[in-house]
Amino acid sequence: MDGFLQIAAAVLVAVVLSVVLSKQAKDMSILLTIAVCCLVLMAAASYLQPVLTLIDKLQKLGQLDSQMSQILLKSVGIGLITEIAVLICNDSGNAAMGKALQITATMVVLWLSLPLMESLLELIQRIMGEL
Amino acid sequence: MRKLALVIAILLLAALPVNAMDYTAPSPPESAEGLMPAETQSFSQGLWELISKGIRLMEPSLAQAGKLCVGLLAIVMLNSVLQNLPGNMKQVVAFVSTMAVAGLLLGQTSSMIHLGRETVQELSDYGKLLLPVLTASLAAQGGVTSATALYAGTAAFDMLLGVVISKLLIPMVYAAIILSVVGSATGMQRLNKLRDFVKWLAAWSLKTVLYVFTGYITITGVVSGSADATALKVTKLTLSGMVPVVGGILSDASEAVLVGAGVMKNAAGIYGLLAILAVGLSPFVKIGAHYLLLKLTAALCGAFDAKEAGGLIQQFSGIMGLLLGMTAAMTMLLMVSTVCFMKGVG
Repeated sequence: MDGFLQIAAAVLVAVVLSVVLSKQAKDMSILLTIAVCCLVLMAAASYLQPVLTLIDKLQKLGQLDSQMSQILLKSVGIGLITEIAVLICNDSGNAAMGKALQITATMVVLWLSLPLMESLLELIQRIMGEL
Repeated sequence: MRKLALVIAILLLAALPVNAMDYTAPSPPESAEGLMPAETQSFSQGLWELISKGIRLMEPSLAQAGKLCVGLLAIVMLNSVLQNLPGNMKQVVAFVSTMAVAGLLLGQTSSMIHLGRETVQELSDYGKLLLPVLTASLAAQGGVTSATALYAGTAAFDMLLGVVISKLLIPMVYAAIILSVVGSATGMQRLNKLRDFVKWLAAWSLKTVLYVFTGYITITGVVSGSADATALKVTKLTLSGMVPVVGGILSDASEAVLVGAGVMKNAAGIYGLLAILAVGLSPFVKIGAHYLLLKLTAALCGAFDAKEAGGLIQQFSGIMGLLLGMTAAMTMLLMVSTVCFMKGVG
């Protein structure tokens, strides 16, 4: 809880700094935003670690295929990073770049999930063959 | 004249109904042999032994279903990490999660459908062996006409339900599964409506066959009498609560089984009843464990705001319920048929 309060306070200070900087040096303001976002995400990762450990335990208990869980973890990671990056792009007035990044991330997630879709299609085909 | 009188006397003796042959019920299939109770002379004692074995079977079945549900929860939890973000990426990741949930559910449900189909086939095959024995037993006691009529009726319903389940309901269940998966992944409402229609049609077909069968046994009045009111009430409540889709109809038919099995002393019939229960018990427990735990998982998914995955799990639990109804319906139909013969034999 203390850690979170410190992060919240640091973010608010960084926001004020960024607003001040944006009037004189917009490029520095964007760099500050990116740096703060990276630091906050790194701090969030430490809070996410116990959740991921629990999910890992559940995966082992449920005997989930490791390939499947890796695909899901990577998809969630890509999703998180993309959302933050798109918001930074939008804040800096580059919505088009943000949209392009979002489309690329969607493609990558779909490409990652191809083995999942293939195995699902195989199952469906096997079921259809049994009918 | 004396010779003629002797021949007539011999012929009359030959025509008398005798019970020289010992009519024994066929052994249950290999899969159910281990579950057959040691005591097969008394229905109540055998039933109690079967229930005890059924409770012991619950543990491995719940463990197997539990593994699936824990895996599903892990996927839903991972998906929930993105749920509160404002962008579109959560929809893409939700799609991948739904694919993973569908893959897990399809594999397990497919094996449960196989189990249900095999059980229905085993029950139907066992009925084909048991009913002729009971028919011969009834005919040997002088009820040739009633034995023939009973056999024709019960065999026809047994065959009808077997065909309806294997040729109509199982393909419908598969169709509903595929429509559920595709509908959840793509979010197409039209597919969901079609899936609901297929599930409704499957449930309606099963209910109709059972309604006609219970109507048949009521009209013929083959099974009548009075059972212990408390036992009857408890059985009816248990069946209507435990068995989805057809629980209400089966609870009505249970009266016939209780009345017949409690009063009759026919050894072959009691052995047959216990064998039928032994065949249906293991699949019922396995499918039932999946049904219950999938319902629980779907409810837990609500806490993670996973609409697609939770909806899909809910759909699959409904399909498990339909499978449970099919297995229970076939078991109950065969049991009621057996009791009809037992009533004739006494």
